[in-house]
Amino acid sequence: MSRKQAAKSSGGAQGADKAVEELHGIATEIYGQLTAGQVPKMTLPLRTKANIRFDPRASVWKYGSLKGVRSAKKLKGALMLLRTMYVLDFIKDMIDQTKSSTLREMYYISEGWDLAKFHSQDESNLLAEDLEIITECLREDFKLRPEESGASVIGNVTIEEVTRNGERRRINCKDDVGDAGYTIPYNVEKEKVKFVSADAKFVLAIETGGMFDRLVENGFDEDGKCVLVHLKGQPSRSTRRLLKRLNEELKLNVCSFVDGDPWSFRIHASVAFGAIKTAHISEYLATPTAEFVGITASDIVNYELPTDALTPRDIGALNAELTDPRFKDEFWKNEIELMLKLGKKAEQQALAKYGLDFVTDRYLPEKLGELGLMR
Amino acid sequence: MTIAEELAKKQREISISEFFERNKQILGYDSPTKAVLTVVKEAVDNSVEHDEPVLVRQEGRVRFVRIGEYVDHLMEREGVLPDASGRSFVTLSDCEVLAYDDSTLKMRWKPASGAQRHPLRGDLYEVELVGGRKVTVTGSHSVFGLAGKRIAALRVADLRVGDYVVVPHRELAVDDPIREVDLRPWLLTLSPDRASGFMIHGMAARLDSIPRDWTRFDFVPLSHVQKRRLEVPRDARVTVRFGKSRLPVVIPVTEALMRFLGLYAAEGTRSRRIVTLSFGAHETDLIDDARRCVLEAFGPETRLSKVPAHETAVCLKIYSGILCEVLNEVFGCGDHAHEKRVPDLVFNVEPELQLAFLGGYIAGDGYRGREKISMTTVSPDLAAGLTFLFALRGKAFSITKKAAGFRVFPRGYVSQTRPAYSLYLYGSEGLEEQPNSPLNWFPLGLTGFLDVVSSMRPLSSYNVPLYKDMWSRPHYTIGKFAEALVEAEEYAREDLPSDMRGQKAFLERLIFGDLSFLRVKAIRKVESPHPYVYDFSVPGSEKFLGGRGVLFLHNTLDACEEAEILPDVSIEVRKGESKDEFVVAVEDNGPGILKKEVANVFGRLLYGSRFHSRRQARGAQGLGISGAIMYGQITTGKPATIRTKTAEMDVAYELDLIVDTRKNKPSIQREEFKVWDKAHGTRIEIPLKGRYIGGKQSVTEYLKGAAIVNPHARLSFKPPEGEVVVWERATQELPPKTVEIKPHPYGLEIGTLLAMGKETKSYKLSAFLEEEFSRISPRVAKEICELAEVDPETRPKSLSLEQAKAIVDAIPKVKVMAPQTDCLAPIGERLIKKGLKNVLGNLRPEFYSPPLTRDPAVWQGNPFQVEVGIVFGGDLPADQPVEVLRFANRAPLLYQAGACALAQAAANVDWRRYGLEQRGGQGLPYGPAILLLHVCSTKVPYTNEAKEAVSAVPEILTELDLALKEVGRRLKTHLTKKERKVKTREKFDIVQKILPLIAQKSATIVGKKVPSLDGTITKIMGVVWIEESVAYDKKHVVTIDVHNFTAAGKKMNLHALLPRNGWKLGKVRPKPTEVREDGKITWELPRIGSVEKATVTFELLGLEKDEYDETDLYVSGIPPDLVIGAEPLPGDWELNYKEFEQEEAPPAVAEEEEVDYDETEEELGDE
Repeated sequence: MSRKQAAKSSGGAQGADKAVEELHGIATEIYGQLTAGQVPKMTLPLRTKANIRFDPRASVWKYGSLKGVRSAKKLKGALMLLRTMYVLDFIKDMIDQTKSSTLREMYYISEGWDLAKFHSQDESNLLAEDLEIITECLREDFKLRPEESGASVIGNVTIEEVTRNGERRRINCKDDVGDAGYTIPYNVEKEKVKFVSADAKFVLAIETGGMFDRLVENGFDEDGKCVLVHLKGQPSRSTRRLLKRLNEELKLNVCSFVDGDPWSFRIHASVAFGAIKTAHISEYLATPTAEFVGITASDIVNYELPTDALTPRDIGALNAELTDPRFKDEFWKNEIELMLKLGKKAEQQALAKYGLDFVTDRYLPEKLGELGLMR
Repeated sequence: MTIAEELAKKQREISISEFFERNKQILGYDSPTKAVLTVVKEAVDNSVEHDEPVLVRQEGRVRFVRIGEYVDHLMEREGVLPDASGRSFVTLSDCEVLAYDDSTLKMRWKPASGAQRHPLRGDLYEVELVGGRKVTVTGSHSVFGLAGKRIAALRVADLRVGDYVVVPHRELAVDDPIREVDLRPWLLTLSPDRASGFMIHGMAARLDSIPRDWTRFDFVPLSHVQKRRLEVPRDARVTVRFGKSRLPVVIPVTEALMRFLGLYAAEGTRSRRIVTLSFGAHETDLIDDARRCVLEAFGPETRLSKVPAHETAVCLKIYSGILCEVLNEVFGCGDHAHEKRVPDLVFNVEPELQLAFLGGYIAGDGYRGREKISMTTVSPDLAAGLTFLFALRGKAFSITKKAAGFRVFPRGYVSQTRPAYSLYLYGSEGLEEQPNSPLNWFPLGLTGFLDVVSSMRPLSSYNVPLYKDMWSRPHYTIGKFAEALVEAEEYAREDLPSDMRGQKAFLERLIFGDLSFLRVKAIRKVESPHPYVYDFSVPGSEKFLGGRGVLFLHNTLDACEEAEILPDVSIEVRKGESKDEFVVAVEDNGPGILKKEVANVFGRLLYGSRFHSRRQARGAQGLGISGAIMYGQITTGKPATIRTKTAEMDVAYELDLIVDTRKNKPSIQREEFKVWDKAHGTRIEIPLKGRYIGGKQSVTEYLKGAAIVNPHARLSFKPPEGEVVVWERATQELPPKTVEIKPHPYGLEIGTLLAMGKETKSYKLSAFLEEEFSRISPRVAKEICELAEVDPETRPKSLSLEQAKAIVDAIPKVKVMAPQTDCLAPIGERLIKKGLKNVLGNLRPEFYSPPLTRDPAVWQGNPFQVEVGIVFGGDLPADQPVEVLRFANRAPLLYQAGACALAQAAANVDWRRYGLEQRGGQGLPYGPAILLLHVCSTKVPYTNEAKEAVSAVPEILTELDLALKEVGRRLKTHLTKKERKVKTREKFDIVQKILPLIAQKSATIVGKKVPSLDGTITKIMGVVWIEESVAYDKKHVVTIDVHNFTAAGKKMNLHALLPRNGWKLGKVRPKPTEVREDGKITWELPRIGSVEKATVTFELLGLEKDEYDETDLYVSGIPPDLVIGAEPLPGDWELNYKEFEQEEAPPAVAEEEEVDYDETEEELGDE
């Protein structure tokens, strides 16, 4: 799916028509297989790290050519196929009635689907993604929206957002917002959110709320001339999409400032390289030029940061990253190996060991200075 | 005298260890006491008529008596008074009656503990057998007979003509035979009046002062001897005053004497001074022989002459007043034809001499025909005595009674005749083999013989003519019967199926035992002139030989069975007065102990324990309960408190007891009577110093183990702190009784042999070997003696060490049959499962392997048997070593697991093969499982006196290993099946539930009709899926659905294998093609179309809910890999289906190569 298509298809009536058509196609195929006395099945690209390929054109990681089959021969496959049918039916109804629902609502609605009901929201989310992949539509086209709590933005950037009653309103993310900042809505496409102007050199994407608040309190957005974005852990699609648009449309550099542990490395990966789960829309979500200014294993050593011991799960995750194609460069190889060697991890806020201003006075200027983003 | 006192007598016999067993080990309701305690129930109307003859043995001497006269006499002598119901009971201290031993079916003398008499109520029945044996008893009395392939007591009221009744068949050895008749005791007790009429010869010359000139004639009046208390020398002789014939005061028992007594019984009469034998004039040889007998038996001084009586008759007259007296008073021969008796002496002499008596009698009164000898007598006592004698000599005979009547003689002379008894002894030689006698016929079909032989020889190609012949004949002689069994055994290639083993043991006992069968010819109600009926109590046996014609009578077994008590035991451990002092209290609902026995039972070490007992008993730890009391008293200085109450006691007897260790005697510190609201039972409290622990080797664990192997008991335990734990009873079924057997000669040690020789009652080595060991026949005994070069006549008491060694060396060289095994009481597969379920039920294990009871085997001559069960899954901890529950003779073992053969055997198995985790294939495996191992044996080789572990005897290890592996295979089969089932179950769910929904939903979306799914379904399943469900509501309803999920129609046979017994088949649909006795039901199912299903249902009645949860299903006539949910029917089902239980399920078919999208999510959720 091309970026153009994605952008084009998302949201509008056109997208809905295409979605209906595509979904109908899936049902027709299954029905056809049954009529022919075959075992119903669907073929999908494998969503594993082994099937992540670097797309040099878009500089992001996308699904490769490995395919998997979801077949009714196995209980799990059969159940997913049945759910697919239910979801198809449900989406068709929503489109017909011009309603939409959150993914979570769909999860609850499935309570009434008997055998087909989802046992966790992960299952329903995954299925929605599967449908995106097969139909090359976005879930918004299916009238499904995430209820993800939007991340926050503070910084000197002015946007124009369509309000609930259809008016357009300008918001300056520095002056027109409270301490919580501007909340990113789930739809950040152009028809909803437009950038008006920005006075900033770069975007700093921050993992934790504590650090975001620290930087806000220290006025780092003004001192560093940057836009602060709170990722709230693993960033939602809209957060990543917004980061990408800030990067592409306003030409702002994106830096991720995260904890020093394997999970935070993956947050950076999903921002910069594309997440495995959503690799079908990586070119739409990932910001290939994003830089990592989070805590590294080297920082732990260099700054003598307070640490926690790696848990077995951490170690497993680090090892998995060593075989992850996205982390296959010298920097990551060295940092991951060093962290494994140290057996330690550190949080962003460990920097407070040297005082509350250490992060803004010393750490970030040093890191960003290397990148030429601060003096 | 009450039953309780009878109980007391029995209690004298039980060892401390046995009592300990009951109370501390909680296990013993199968002790000999049981039979007695259960006689609590009134035994009224269950007795034998007054005139019925019985043999009793007193002071080692056998007497032939009428039960009524005998018992009446005893009661008079003891001054016994009847109770309110008119019933009287007299205790017997020295009275034995003939009974047979259950374990060997051999006849032996058993002590009768008492005799009772009660008013006749209800009907009297006379049971007559083929051959004329009869007994008159009340309707509720039982005789022993063949009932469903075993010997059981049959109520006379339920007896039918044609039933088989047990009678003695073999010769009874005579213990300590009489070799001489000493007249002196009789003479010395004669009244002074009579004594003056007897003269003793041959002692006057040796006396110092003789008042008259008796020295000249060398005689002294008996009255003088009595008055002066003189000793009569052995070689003295006795006459009546003025008598010419003298009689030795000690008459040797010789052939001549016995033959004379026989002749006298047939032809003799006596007056005051003359004994007359009458013969036909032509019987000159016999007359000469009679003369010889008299002179040889009574000495040359006996005067006699031959006197012609009339033309055809000659009399032999013996002029011996003293012989007249002796025949009457000492021998008890009876004077007149209708009063003649078989002298009691005859029952007490060597068998050859008994035959000499019979020879004499037959010579006089008998007529030798071609096939039988006929005898006629008008004396009912003589007729009855002869039948006993025939029976005890193993002879086949018959008897008929001709009623009294009138006889018309020629010339019109009419005479009234007495009832006459005609006896026939089969075989022309009379005293030899009588193969054609009905006594030698065995009802082969009824004994189960044919079943056993056919199970032993599964291949009909072994076409032994004998075997074939047997099918066609209703009876077979016992000789052939033995041969056939041995022959069948030689051909037998396979082990007998387990349900046949007991039957085979029974048949072997029949061959080696002393019993045979006769059919009931008639049963009639009769009147009795006597107001009372009589009965003996024979503890532990409940049968005695009696009746006119000798059969086994039974007294009170039915009552016993009804009154048996299910054990209810509570155990309490509480803190004592000082810091580390505890009080252990054990209370049971047992029979209670008689007051006078309490102190001895508890207060003496090794009180009454028996020597050489070869019965499987649980065994006490070391010194038993008195040892425990002693331990308590040593550690705390305090006595034990015992309270006991028997059913007869109104209040309980309580006492404080210590053991006087110096004298090994109980010392009562305090005693009193207390009100106790318990009907009967015993409570003992022992204070002791010790430590109470929880965990692995705790009281709780011990009791848990005990509860598993004793599902018939209810146990409760109150620990020092915390809640009371209760193990409820899981079954009302009592464990089988163990029978005592004699040791098997293999593995005999010299010391044991010598010790047994000292103890035995046998007088000859050969008899000793036969009597005291199992499986030694006269032939084998002879062979052993010959090989050992020891005279079979040697007295066992005087065996030398060399001789004993020679015998022990000789035994292994002689072929002796393997020991019998019914002395063992394995817990049994059913009860193991029940016990485990009861105790482990709250852990909800998913799988109880059918427990395995191996066939008995032998170590050093001791039969033993191992049992293994395994429980798997459920809430059992999966990450710990498997728990091993060890048992020996039904007692849990807690200590020394490392040294124990049971634990070793479990650790030696490579459990990885059977689906359990095990590091390096050795040591205890890990996993959610419990192993139960049980060894039972007449002698368990414990590693130490405390009986904590079983030694690693190679034979036992081997058996355990085989059993464990077999159980392991069963576990593996279960796991494999489960895995396969889960997979198929999934597919079943897919095609049954999910696929139709997909079809429906996709049809709705595309707006077309719902497609047929048949093609898809068969592609997904591709099998025939057999699914069973079992519902229970007072009966089990089993529903079996056979779904054909293949692309084409399928036809097949379905077979269900049900448990061997305990159930009845209710409704079955559709109608089965075949229902076999071994529990296999077969349906030939009609063709099932593709994606169609057939349903089979059947009902099982008579099982408890837990007893049935799964059917063994088999299919045939269809490729087995197409079928899920049933095993292929083994092609050689008829031979051995067992092997197929072990066969592992075929590996699952490999799935397609496509990558399953939904199985590759590993990276999806981790960001």
